[in-house]
Amino acid sequence: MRKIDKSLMLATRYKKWLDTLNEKNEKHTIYNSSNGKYYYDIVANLIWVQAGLCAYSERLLQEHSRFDPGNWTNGGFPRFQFSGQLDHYDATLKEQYGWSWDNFFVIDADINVKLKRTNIPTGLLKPDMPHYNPRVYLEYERTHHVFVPNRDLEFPVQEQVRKDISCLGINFQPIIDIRKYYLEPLFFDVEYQVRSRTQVQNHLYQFFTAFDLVADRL
Amino acid sequence: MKVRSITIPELHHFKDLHLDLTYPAGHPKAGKALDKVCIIGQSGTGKTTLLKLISAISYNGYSYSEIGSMDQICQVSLDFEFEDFIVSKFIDFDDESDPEKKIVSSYWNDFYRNGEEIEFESIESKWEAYLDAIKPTSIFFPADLDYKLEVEHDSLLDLQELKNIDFSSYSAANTWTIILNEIQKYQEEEIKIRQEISHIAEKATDIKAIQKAVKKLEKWRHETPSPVQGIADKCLDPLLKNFGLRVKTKLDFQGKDDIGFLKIEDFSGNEVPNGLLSTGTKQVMLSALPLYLLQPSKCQILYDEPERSLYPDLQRTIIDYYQSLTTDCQFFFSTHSPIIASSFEPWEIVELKFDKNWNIYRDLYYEGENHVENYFVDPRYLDYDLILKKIFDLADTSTDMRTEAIVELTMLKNQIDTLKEKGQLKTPKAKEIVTRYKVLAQKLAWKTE
Repeated sequence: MRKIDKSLMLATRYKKWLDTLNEKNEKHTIYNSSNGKYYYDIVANLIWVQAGLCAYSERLLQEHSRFDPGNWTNGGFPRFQFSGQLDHYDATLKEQYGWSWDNFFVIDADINVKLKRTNIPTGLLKPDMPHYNPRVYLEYERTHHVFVPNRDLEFPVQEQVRKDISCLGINFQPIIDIRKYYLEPLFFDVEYQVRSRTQVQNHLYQFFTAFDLVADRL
Repeated sequence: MKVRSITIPELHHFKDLHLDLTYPAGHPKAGKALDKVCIIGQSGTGKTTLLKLISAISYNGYSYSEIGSMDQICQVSLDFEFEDFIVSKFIDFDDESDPEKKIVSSYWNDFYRNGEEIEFESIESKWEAYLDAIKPTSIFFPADLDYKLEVEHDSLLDLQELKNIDFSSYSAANTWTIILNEIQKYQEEEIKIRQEISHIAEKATDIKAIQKAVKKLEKWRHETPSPVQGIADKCLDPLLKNFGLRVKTKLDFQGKDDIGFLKIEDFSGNEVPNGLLSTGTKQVMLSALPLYLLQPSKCQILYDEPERSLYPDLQRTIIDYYQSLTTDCQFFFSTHSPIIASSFEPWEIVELKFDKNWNIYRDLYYEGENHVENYFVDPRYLDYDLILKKIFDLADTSTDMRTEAIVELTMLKNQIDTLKEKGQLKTPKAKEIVTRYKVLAQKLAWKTE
């Protein structure tokens, strides 16, 4: 999970509407997925700031160049084909604050796991939080290609991170297989000097954190 | 005669489908028809239809109506090879016969020898001699094989007289007719020798004469094994032993009508009534026995879902086993079993899939030229987990719980290592973590690496 900077607001129509609601301290209109007026504005904005990656798994979802700030009109973006999902980081906020920008991420449809509906993540692994740094919280276990809590954390914090890993679905089976299939040939190249780490990094387009965490040890 | 390719312009979900069923370049049998083919695919992708098409167009034309209308089926063509000839064949109604009777005939499109097109007349006699020499030419085992083991002697079919054997139309237990006469002759011969012994024993005062007669019986038994003994040793016992069973080889009937079907017993010699045999046992008996008794050669053998009721250990061996009972036959298997699929080379697998318009296409396992070097999936190199993922396209084979346990286990191992470095392995906290680790590792069958 890379750190994500969501401060660049391109969906200004949506932002204006949201700010008005918040100023008046009004409840959000019911979250109704892609039928929402600003749904595609929000998704387009997130794809841009997430560089086309799933916010949690870092799988490449979509080429993000088309969402360049120069392609927006009056703070909006036209409807487009989209295979991922707009996720509420804390699903319990969905009912009352369903359109909250802070709670939104674009993620791979495959990792929107059932666990997330009932478990509330602690916030330790919320990728847009100022404290968040993947190297502090995560390790990558290459044998099974899973993220695990960083061993340097206090044991109780490790437990919290483990639960968040589960809750966010970053070790969901289909993603593990895709990640392994993508990364293993690259690890091999770096380990046996077929290509330098920099050469591989220059062509990397997904799973950056997992690559970095393993490449450090190669 | 082996099928080299199938071309289906339009039939149900099949549209412009061409299946190449030859070995790829780089293979020792490159360009020759496949010895065995494994058809896999989601339900509804036409696996059984394909088996029936092959059977109908090869030899069994009258059964076309189960598949579709003749308007569509007559467009389907099969390429065959026999000896060094390649022929293309389709079926249609005989245009010279009474339209009302709708007699199905075979038609031949092209003939090739060593790549050169030739006239049918030049090989007609050879072709007919070839077909005459083969009996049966095809054997079809449906998925819903009739498991009835009781045979009614009056209505038994003589399968050896049939060109096309279709066990969706009659019970595989009919195969029993093949051995019925042999068993009766064997029994009569034994009775005859026994009577001789009794006769000598009644008259003879010389014990040596009696011993000589008994030795004759032993010699005869040694030189003339019971027909059932052959079934036991060479066909069924190697499979039945998996169920703790064997063929009962002792014959204790009075007349032909008393022979019944094969009898099965446990290892203590207790006969197991047919009604108590498991479906797996019946599946094994009725799918293997016909091959052993009919001794097919250069024949097409089609099995729909051969894995039915079979435990994985048997599924793993059954394909090689069926092949071992035959000579130079071409096998077609339609299956949903990853274990069955693991018995095949990648070019022998025909994976059928729906495209976005719900038409069927074959998912190819190679890129570029059809060459063994260009295959990127090979079931022989994969464990069952990977076969499910790479061949059967199952995205998720491990459970989420297992993955989460792996994460937890890794975390606990890291914690134990940390405590070890600090010299704190004897603390209550360390003991608690170690216990938790071991309990979890046991649940994962210690498959943690």
